[in-house]
Order: sequence, then C-alpha cells, then structure tokens
Amino acid sequence: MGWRLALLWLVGVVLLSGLMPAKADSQGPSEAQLKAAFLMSFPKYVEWPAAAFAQTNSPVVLGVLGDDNTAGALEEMIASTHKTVNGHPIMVKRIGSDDDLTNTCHLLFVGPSERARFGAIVAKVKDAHVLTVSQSEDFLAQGGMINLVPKDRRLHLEVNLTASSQAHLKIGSALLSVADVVKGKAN
Amino acid sequence: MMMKYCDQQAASLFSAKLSPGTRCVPVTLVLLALFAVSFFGPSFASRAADSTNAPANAATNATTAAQLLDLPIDQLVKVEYIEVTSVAKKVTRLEQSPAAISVVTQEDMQRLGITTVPEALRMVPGIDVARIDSHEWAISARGFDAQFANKLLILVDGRTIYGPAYGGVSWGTQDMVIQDLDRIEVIRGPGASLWGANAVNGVVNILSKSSRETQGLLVSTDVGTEDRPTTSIRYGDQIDTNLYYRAYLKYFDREGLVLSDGSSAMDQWNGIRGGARMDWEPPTGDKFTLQGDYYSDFLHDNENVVILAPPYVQNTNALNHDYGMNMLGRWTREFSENSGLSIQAYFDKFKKEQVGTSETRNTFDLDAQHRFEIGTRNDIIWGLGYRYTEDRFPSDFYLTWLPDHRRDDLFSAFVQDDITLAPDRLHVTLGSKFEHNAYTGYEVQPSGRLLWTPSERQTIWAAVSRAVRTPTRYETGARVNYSVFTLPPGSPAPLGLATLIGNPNVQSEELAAYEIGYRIEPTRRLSFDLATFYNHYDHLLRYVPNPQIDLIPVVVYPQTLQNSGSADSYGAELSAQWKMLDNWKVSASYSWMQVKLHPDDPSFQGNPEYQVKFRSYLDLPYNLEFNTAVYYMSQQTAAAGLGEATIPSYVRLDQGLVWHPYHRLEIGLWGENLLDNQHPEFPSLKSSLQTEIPRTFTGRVTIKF
Repeated sequence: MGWRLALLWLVGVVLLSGLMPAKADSQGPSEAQLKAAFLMSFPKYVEWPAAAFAQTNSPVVLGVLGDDNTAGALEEMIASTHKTVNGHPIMVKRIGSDDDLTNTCHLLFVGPSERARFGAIVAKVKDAHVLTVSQSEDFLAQGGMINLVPKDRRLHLEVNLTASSQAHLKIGSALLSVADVVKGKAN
Repeated sequence: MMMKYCDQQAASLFSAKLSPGTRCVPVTLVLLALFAVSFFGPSFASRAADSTNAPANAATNATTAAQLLDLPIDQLVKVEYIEVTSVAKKVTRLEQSPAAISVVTQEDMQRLGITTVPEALRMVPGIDVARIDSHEWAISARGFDAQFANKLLILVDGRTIYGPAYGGVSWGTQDMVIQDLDRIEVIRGPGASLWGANAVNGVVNILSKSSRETQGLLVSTDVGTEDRPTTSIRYGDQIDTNLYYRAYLKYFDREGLVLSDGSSAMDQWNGIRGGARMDWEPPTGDKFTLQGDYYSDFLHDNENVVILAPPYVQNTNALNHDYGMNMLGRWTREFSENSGLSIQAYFDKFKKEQVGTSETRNTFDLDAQHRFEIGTRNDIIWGLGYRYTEDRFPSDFYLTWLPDHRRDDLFSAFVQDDITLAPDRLHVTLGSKFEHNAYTGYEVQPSGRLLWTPSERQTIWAAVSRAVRTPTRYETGARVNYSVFTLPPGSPAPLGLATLIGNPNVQSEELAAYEIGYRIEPTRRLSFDLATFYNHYDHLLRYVPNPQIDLIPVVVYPQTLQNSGSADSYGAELSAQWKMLDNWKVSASYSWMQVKLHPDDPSFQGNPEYQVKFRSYLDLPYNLEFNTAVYYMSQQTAAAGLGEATIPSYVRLDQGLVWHPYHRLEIGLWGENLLDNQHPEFPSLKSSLQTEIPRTFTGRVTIKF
C-alpha cells in the first residue's frame, strides 16, 4: 500500500536528519512568558518621580504578589536576558500578602487570585508611586492601574489613568495608544 | 487531481499484491522529489529570525525571550501565545500544526449563543453537523455521517466519549456549562497515531477552562421556544495559594422538535447535571487536576418497535432515563520547556435506556505520557495506556446481544518524533500508535507529517496516515429484528422477518489518508487555510443478505456483517478569516467532497458534496454585538429507520443580538433557522418518523457576581 512506501521514505529522512547542522529551535511564547515580557516592558513607558530611584542605576523592582507562575517566568526571563531599562537593571521580588508594600517595588503585579483584596492592596500602595498591574476584570474598578486581558491568544491592555496620575506616575502615550480601554484622565 | 496509489513499487519492497487496473501514478517519484527537497532544503539560504529589520513581521517571529523584550509595545500586543494541544499532544501554535485544524473559541460560543456542544461544532469548516431530533445529532468529518458516526473520535478534557457499543457519541448527554469551556479543537483527518483507533476522519477535543479561570459566581438562564428554561449556576473559589476549585449545577428543560406536518415530535427532554473541578499548581512545576461530573436526563424518544402482529412496525414514544458519572485525575510535571511527564486516570459509569434494552457500562482508563528531547533536533513523545470496560445489555425480541455481558481490555502505546530538519523551516513528525483490543487483536496506526514554512506568512504541510476503526459491540454481537412485513399468499409463511446479524470475526475498517494543506496570512487581518485530502477506505463493514430461512410463522431474511466494502473519497476545505474593520470580523469556509462507494450501501452514506459556512461578528456602539451565521448544506442521503432517506439541501440563518451593559452582565437574543418554518437535517436510524428543526428563538441573561 502507498502508505507503507511513504513511511519508508520518511524513515529515511529521519536517519539523514543526523547529518544536518544543528541550530537552536524556537517555538511561540507561553502565556506566562508573554505576560513577563509585558511586565518587563512597562518600565520603558512609565515615568516615576525622581524620588523613586536612589541612584541612576538603582534597580527597577518588579514585585509579584500571589502569583508564583508569573514570578517564576519573570525570574527566568531576567536570568536569561539581563535586560536593563534606561540604565536601571531589573529585579524581581516575590511579595507575601502580609509583607509591607511601601518602598519595596516600583511595579506590583497582583495575582488574579487576590481579587477579594484588590481594594486593600491598592490602598496600601496609594502614596508609594507603585504601578499596579493585574489580570482580572475587577482590577481597574478597584483602583488598579493596568489590566492585562487575554483574548484570542493575545494579551490586551486596559489602563486607569486616574489611578496612575494620583500616584504621580506618567504613562507614555505609546502605551496608551495600544490599550483597548483607557479610563479616567491624567491631572 | 486524484492520486491513485500504486502497489507495483511497493510490491518489490513489501510483497504486496499488485491490484489490477490501478493506474501507476508516479507516487514514488513524488516521494523521492520531496525527499530530495527535504535533504537539500536546509542548505538553501537559512535566514536567522531578525526582528529588527522587519518590524511588521517581528511579532510573528519573536519567540525567544530576548526577541520579545526587543519589541515595542505596539508589537507586543500582537504577539500570540501558544495554545493548541491536539495535533502533537504538546502545546503548539495553531499555524504551525501540520494538520487541518480549527478551533472554536469561547468567544465564538458566546457570540452565537451556543446552548449545546454539538451546535458549537456546526461552524467548523468541513464538519457535517446534522440534527436528528431533540437530543441526537449526526456529526462527522469528510463523509460517513450517521446517527452513530463511527469515524470521529471525541474527547472531553482527555476522557473519550466515543461509545464502543454502537460507535458514535450520544450527544444529548454531553451538555455542560458552555461559559466554562475554553475551546474545542477539531482536527479533520486521521489523528490515530496519537489518539488511537476510531480517530479515522477526525478528532474533536473539548476542553474546559481551569478552575483558576472560572472564579466567582456565574448564573445564566436561557428562555425561548426551545429552552423552558435552562439554568446554569457555577461558583469558583480559591482554597489556598495556587489551589482553586469550581462547582456547577445545570438544569435544562427543552421542548421537542416538530414532524414534517408541523405537529410536535413529542421528543421533549429535561435533565440535570452537576460537577466540580479542582486545580493545584504548586511552585514545584507540578500540576494536578481532579474533576468529576454527574448527569441524569429524562428523554422522550421516538423508536420503532417490531412485533409479530399488525402493524408489525410501530413508532413508540418512550421515556428513557440516561444517567451517569465520571471522575478524572491528572498529574503533569514539567522538567523543562520541552520535556515533561503526564499521568491521567479516569472512571466513567453510565446507564442508557431505550425501548426494550439498555446499556450499562463502566470504564476505567489509565494513561501515561512522557516528552523529552534528544539533542536539539528530536522532540519525542511516547506513552502507554490501558482501558478496561465492562458492560451489560439486557435483550428483547427486537435486539439480542451476544454475549449480554462483556469485559474488554485495551492496551495501547504510542510514540512520536518531531524532527527539526531546518529550524523554523522544515519539520517532520513521525509517529505510530500500537494497540491490542479485544475484538481484532493488534492494530498499528502510523503516520508521517511534514511541515514547511517557506516564509513567515505561509505554511505548507503534508501527511500520510493509516487509521483503523475497530468494530463495535453492536457489529460483533447484536442480532436485530428490525422489520416484520406480510408476505404474498403462496409464500412459505405469512410473515417475513428482516434480521441483522453481527459477526464476531470481522476485522477493523482501514483508512489510508493522504493530505496536503496550505496556510497563508497575506496581511495581519486576513488569512486563508486550505486542506485537501484523498482517502482510501478498505474492509468497510456492511450487512450482506444471506439466503432466507423458512420457519413457521416467519420467513427469516438474514443479513450478516462482512468487511466487504471499500471507498475512495477526495476533497478540499477552504476557509478564510478577515478582520474587515476593527469592529467587524468575518469568516467563511467552503468544503467540497466526492465519495466513490463500492458498493453503494446505505450505511456508507452521509456524504454531502458541498458545505458552505459564513460568520459575521459586528461590534456596535453602546456595547452591542450583532452576530450572524449562515450555513448551506447540499443534499445528503443516509441510512434511515427502514432503509434510506434523502434530505434536501438547505440554507440556515442564525442571528443574535448581544448587549453587555457592563462587564458583569450579558443579555442576548438569538434566532436560529430564521429562513424556514422548519427543515429536516438528518433521518433517524431508530424511528421512521422524520423530525425537523423549527425556527427557534432564545433569550439569555448571564450575570457574574
């Protein structure tokens, strides 16, 4: 039968594959990797007040609360790329729910499982110039600043400008123009 | 152009018989040419994926972490993360799958107001979805559609729902909270090398969302001309860090459909189902899932009953109680991005009633799968599986089961190697499934697939596969007295009895499939997908008349089952997706198929020549959506209660208006089959009554707390 012949051919191809020069393969990113890429890219489009960084090369700290998978993906991505933003190296910090949230990070990613406490968390970092990010429908309504929305295998952005400007953070127009939803106004 | 395989070349290699009259197409030459291309291909210009030179293409190409971080934010929002699992049993990008695959997303189900799983499959290119009555559907791919369409394998979260008794799926019992489904992956063409026997013409993988994605309280109610009403309630919560669960309850009460004269077909049905699921992802890299469901349905069913007194064959409206439960557990451990281990076990128990008989079945399945790499070129997945099933079938005059109680083991193993011949350019996947089943013994189902990416926006794939369809419990051991009729005076007896007799010694049906496909994405808003196939079926099972047996008071006309059929089919499925405007998406598909049957047996029917499908999703101001689906099915002939029936071609229009005043509330109104008062889609095997689908209106309110 023809299929046996075709299979014989394919087996031959397998045997010859060993002669080909090797090269690194690539596949698409997973959702966690794409999310980590967003979190590491946000500092490029956000201006913190000068007081947020002790020196010009102090690290940008990305805090992750209640989402070990995202924290892990971020740690892997930083370890493999050693990226910097405007001269600031990037650091990840895993934050427990009872930790002190002020003066710990510049960006705080709150895991969607913390949705019951969004309001409380946002209130804790209100005056600390922290960019709050999450992935949950409620987040912006509770005072969060950026929401990631998975849709059709892509991550979309929603932004709450009122919240970010209250924290004296300036979100660049490049980011705002690609967001699906921008609520509120900057003062 | 149809390809006829030629045994002559193969004969010298495998001592196969030369079949006379076959035109020797140079299959060997074509294969040698492809072989040469794959060998020399990598030495052509190998472009490294350079994302800085071509920002427009960067999003499709950016795969490594460094490349992702180099992208400006307007490109990052366009990057797609990987999703599909059915083709390679590992997560791969849809565009990189060497198979004819389509995905029905949660968005599709939401926009078109889908209320049942079989209706979600209607929009898939090349899938023939035909509703028989209120709770039965005939669903197949690439031909051979039937009430018990036995050439499509269906799984729900990794658990097979293909029934070994009759083949096919009892679609009515597969009802779930539609909002909690993540997606339905549909592969047209054989998936046997990974999924095993009966994945002959396709595989349907229904996947629900993990508990983490279904948190909070959801309440949804459907009210309309069919649902009186249907209500789903689901609650999801978190127990601990990375430990989530959800529980649901769904109750439905559905009106029956209509007969050709417009009167009620009296096939109303109602049911309740409930279940829960728990997911745990500790930071160690393990994932645990535990889920279970219970269902209980009461169905009014039209069935033919055969008796030895006038009117001999009579339609009965029976009340059947179908109920069952299942539990599934799975552990997955990822060692690295490309290696991992997965072990799954499930238990499924159900009882299904019909007039005069019932099926009680317990199934236990254990599956293990391991994925690892050899060097940088070989990505290997292999696995072992064991399934135990036991059943019980009481018999009556109409239907006798031999034996009435069976315990069967199924042992299986599979291996697949995804070989990178040229990174990002050429992949070859070779694999096979090996099974030992209780009916036909050993079965081997190999397949080879080739994936060529000549440019970032184009993909060409080809596949050669062998698949088998094992005989069902019904085919090997059931004796059906399906008709009684009067004989003219002078006959040996006044009555004739037509009987179908199963045969435990039949072998599996075989398929040799050759497929080629092409995908192109000319712009980010427009994409085309073409899949073509040539299938050769052998040893198809059919009932063959035997000499009559003169008894008193009946003359018996027996028909016994034999592997004496074969068929050739070929066709193409072309689909396109176009985002015409930012708020308007359109998709369309056109499938064409020709089937040559040897002989032209009614049980080989269900082969519509054309299917045309069209969908439009339009977002309007004030959070409104206007969604449309149009279907054209060409006429179909299929086996029916006492013979054959031809269903005329039809055009079906479904439309819906959905309002999302704010993100917690959705109100929708849908109309189905708007162009006709009613139309038939498929005949029933169990009854001579033809049930038709009326015009339906459904309103739905969904609230998330």
